[in-house]
Amino acid sequence: MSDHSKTLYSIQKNSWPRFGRISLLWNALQGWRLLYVAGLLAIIGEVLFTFSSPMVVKITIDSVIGTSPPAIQMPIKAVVEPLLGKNFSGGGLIPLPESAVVAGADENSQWIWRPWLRSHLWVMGLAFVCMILLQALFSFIAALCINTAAEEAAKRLRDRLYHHIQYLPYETLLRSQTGDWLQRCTSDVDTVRRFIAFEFVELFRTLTLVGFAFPIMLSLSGTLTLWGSIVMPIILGFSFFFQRIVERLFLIADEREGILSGIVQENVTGVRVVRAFARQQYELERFAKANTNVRDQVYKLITWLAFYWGFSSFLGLLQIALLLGAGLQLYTAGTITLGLLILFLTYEQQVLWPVRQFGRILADTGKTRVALGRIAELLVLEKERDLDYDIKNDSFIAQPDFSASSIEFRDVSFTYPDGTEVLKHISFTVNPGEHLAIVGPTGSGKSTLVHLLLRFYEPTDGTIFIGGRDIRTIPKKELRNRISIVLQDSFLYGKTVRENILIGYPDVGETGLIEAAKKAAFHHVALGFQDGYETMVGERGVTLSGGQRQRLALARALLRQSPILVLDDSLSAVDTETDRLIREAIGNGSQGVKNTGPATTTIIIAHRLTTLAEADTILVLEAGRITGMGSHDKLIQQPGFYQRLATLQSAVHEM
Amino acid sequence: MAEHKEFEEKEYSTQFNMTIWKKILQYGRSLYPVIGVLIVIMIGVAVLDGIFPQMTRYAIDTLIPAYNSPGYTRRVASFILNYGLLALLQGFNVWALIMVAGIIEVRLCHALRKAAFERLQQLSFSYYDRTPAGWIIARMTSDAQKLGDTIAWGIVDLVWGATMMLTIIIFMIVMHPLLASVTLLFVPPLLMVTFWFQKKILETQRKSRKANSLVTGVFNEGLQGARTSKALSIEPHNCRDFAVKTEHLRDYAIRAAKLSALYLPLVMVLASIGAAIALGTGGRYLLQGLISFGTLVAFINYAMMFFDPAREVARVLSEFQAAQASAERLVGLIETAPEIIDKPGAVADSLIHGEVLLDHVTFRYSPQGPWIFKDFSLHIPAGQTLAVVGETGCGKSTLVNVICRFYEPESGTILIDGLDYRERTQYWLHSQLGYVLQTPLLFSGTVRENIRYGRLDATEEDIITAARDANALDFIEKLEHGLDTLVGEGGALLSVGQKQLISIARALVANPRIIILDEATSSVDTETEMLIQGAITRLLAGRTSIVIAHRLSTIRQADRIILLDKGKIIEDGNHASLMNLHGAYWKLYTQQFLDEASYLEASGA
Repeated sequence: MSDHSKTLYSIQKNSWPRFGRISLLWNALQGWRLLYVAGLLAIIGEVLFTFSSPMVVKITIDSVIGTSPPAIQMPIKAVVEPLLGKNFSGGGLIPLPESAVVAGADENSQWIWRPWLRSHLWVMGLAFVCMILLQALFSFIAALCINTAAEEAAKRLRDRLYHHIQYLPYETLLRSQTGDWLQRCTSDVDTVRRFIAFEFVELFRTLTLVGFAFPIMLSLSGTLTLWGSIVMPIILGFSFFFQRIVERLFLIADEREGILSGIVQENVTGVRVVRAFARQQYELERFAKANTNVRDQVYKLITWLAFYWGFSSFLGLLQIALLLGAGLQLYTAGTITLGLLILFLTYEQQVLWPVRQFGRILADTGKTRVALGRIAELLVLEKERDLDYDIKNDSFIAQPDFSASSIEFRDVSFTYPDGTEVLKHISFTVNPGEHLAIVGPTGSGKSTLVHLLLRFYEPTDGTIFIGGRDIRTIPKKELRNRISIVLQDSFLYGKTVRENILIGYPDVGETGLIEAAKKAAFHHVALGFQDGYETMVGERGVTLSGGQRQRLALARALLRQSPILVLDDSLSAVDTETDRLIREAIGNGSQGVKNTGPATTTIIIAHRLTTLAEADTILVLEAGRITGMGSHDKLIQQPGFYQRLATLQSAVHEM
Repeated sequence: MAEHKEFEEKEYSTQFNMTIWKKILQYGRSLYPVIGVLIVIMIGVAVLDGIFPQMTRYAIDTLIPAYNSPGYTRRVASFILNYGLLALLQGFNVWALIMVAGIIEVRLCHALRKAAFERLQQLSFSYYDRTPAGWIIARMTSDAQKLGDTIAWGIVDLVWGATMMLTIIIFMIVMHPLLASVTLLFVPPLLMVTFWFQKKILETQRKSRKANSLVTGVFNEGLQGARTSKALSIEPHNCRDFAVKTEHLRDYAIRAAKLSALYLPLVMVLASIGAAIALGTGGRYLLQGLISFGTLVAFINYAMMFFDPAREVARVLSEFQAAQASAERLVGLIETAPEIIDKPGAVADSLIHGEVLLDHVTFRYSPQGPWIFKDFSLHIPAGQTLAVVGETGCGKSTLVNVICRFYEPESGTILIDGLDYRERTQYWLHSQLGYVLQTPLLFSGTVRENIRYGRLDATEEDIITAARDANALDFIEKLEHGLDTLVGEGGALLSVGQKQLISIARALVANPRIIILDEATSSVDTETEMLIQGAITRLLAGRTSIVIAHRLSTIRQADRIILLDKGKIIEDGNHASLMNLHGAYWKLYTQQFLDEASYLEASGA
């Protein structure tokens, strides 16, 4: 049982397999896949033109200034051939200039365009700029498409995670580790975004670059290509090997950095303890040790990084030296032209940098795998079911009339997913408009009982009815909209006081807001703040005291005017006098019903005798069982928890 | 509200503030020679980078024409050897630059953190009271790191970029001044575009970072408030709200990406215009025999090489501007003066006996703030247990703050064993003081380490005795590794009740003469409550104790109770006498303590 429940309610390592990491990525890109693919295509375009501009230089040197025939390769060939004619020797869209025709007849060996180009060298410059312009254009399109797609995917992933968390069952949320989950939702998503925007693109670009460079170079000169790729495998292998070492060092450095900031955090939040025990010296030593640990680890890291970049930089230059040496020999042997040698040198430099980076980027891909797995582990958690009508049990379309409905627990038992028995055979009925109070020692199951009413949990046994209808047939959303609960530790959002009260119901007018605040004895508190209802709550605004927080949470619940109101020990920090005023205002006081509308059915968990005594029925809960039920007058006669409590509390009043 | 404004992230200063940078560099004074070395290395790297195209030029212009001269192969071989040696030299340079820059980064960051942490240990409570913990932590971690990073690698890129540009220009001019002047025409617009874009890019990146931290905040809230959201059934509302925030983030991020996407192609085209001019004009010069092949190739190479250093310089300059905010904040922290310092000649001579006297004390938290105490006097004989009760804001915590010398009174004196505590050191008082907090705070480490925090030279026996007296030994022994069990950050792996028991053990092992107990109001289960009450009884026995009391049993056991209201003692006596008065204490007791206490008693009996 407990193992099973664990897998249901908390994050399991490596629980993602049925969630395919690639499909997670693919899914995030939904709607932007075409754009992304367009971006990748633009990369291909960019790479093609990366090879084109050096070609212009080569032609200028070899065939315009020199006398070799132009050996124009793809992709320029595709553009230029229709313009200049087959083999670039006329007959294309651009008519040969007169001078070319004349000169061409004279010298058979030279390129037919050469004389004209020699006197119009700026044309070659223009061609060069055009090539770069096209390369730039593609690069711009690629960056635009890819980044847009990546940001959209990240947004989609963030929204999806947030949505998923919002709809997780109560139990799962109770077990959530906020820090760890937050990291999955923020930095892990960012890792994935960077993968889509940079790493994958860089890998793709490098492969395209090498994929195109190799055939082009091979077609120009096989020997030179061989010389030009001798050191490359060594660089590549070295960068892989090196990444393995460095990744581990990085991890340790991160860990130590975490320890360091943990120490600062504890020192700052625990400053009272540090000072009260005069432990400054001890703390300084603790910090100095951690600080030095970080430093030493980063040193180690830097030593490796320096070695890597130094050596790979040497290897890269060595590669160029070899290419240059071989090129010189080949040139003097007449195998290649000067322009070709320069072309090779340029290509080599274009390929070298991505290859040197390859190992690092591949290592980063590993991080993405981990991040995707961590995100999937969160998404694999099951969402809460039966929130809406359309899910199941649609047979009962008519909404139950909550305001005129009794609440009945019929032999309800509940065991927590981890096997702890909490409630045993609970049966009771609350009539419409009645007030039920629940009392009992800490841990007796009071909160769980009201949680069952809202279907945060489902009973393991027995049935709960509202208006005679099994609540399992009422969609949770409907149920929770009609039952206002104030939790023991209500959360206040980092918004204004007004937004906090109106949350979920922004259309309620000023009167409704103030009425609810007044009933909860919070109106004068709000007016006391610097900006009244517009005051920010939380870190960036006022800090509310326990009692103020509880009253704000109550105002929020009262604003909904639900037919059923549940207070889970939520006036404990409010003083007795205010407590009495509040209960009177919400029609639960001894003065009787003040409300004009249909009376609210109320369930209050409390341990104040004054609160308890005023309820129509008091339910005493001990260790998950009902040990007493009835009015104050009745219970006070029976020996037990309630009587003890009443005696103790009233004894002093009579002093 | 107002006091929080100063901590809002100020990320950008438009004015370059030299004094701040000087102060930051003060912490790296020992690094000055190292910085000098780094600059020399970087100049070397840049010059070498500029020399390699010259090597190619030499090969084309000098080697090739001599291909049929005798000894050609030997010349090529020696050329390749020289090239290889230069490559080796450059490899060494790169290694050295990373080592040296790394050392600067790490040492500077280390020194800044050290200075800031040392200052944090001296700063008064007033500083902690008005500064959010997260703010301090961010200064210690990300700001210190950012400064080390920006300074070390900023120097690298700045020196390299500037030298590189200079080298290129010089080589061009030396090769052919006329061609150089034509080719370099593109440089001014390139620089202008670069500087404008780098500034803009940084600005939008900052905006998207801000939107990002907002999203993180909402995520955090979504997690912590998820159960409340569920109870209120407002999940769809939250999701809509969140989607708006992620939309903002996406829009800023795309805007930043667009700028970067535009910048690189733009400067590439600008540089290519330079190269095209070199190609067109240089080609003509070549035909006219004015320049050599090699020179033409070198010109084209240099033109295309230019935009990289330009971008680096512009980037570093705007990063320095951004890092200045970090520098200002960190220097601000380090230069904050502690308000409480030991008098010169203050002594730590004696053991405390435990008599405390507040003599006509006045106090307020800030010079403009409201008075907390005016002419407040209180005498606590040694060994007395004093319970302090009163409404929130009556001055209970302030009383503890001034007695502990976390704050000092504005006028009047506090005498401990008959002597003004300002005549003694803070260490003297604090080393003989025990303090148990309302919200128990443990440090990450083992249970043993946490108890030993009370007295560093405590023996194993002392620790076990203290744990036993604190009623903590039973549960500690049931933990997986007993006393060696790790408690997690802030004690997160233990329950609230367990943390309270350990914090009592920590105070017990210190065996202090004066004990300050700020009781918790949080509810623990009945059994633990009994254990805590027993532990407290042993803790207070035979010591001067000042208790901010919330527990009925503690109040009843106290030798004396004072009821505070707006900084004045309005009732003073023991429980029985105060109840007989039927006054404010009686009212407070019946309204506040009773419910809680009798509830506990009824549960536990």
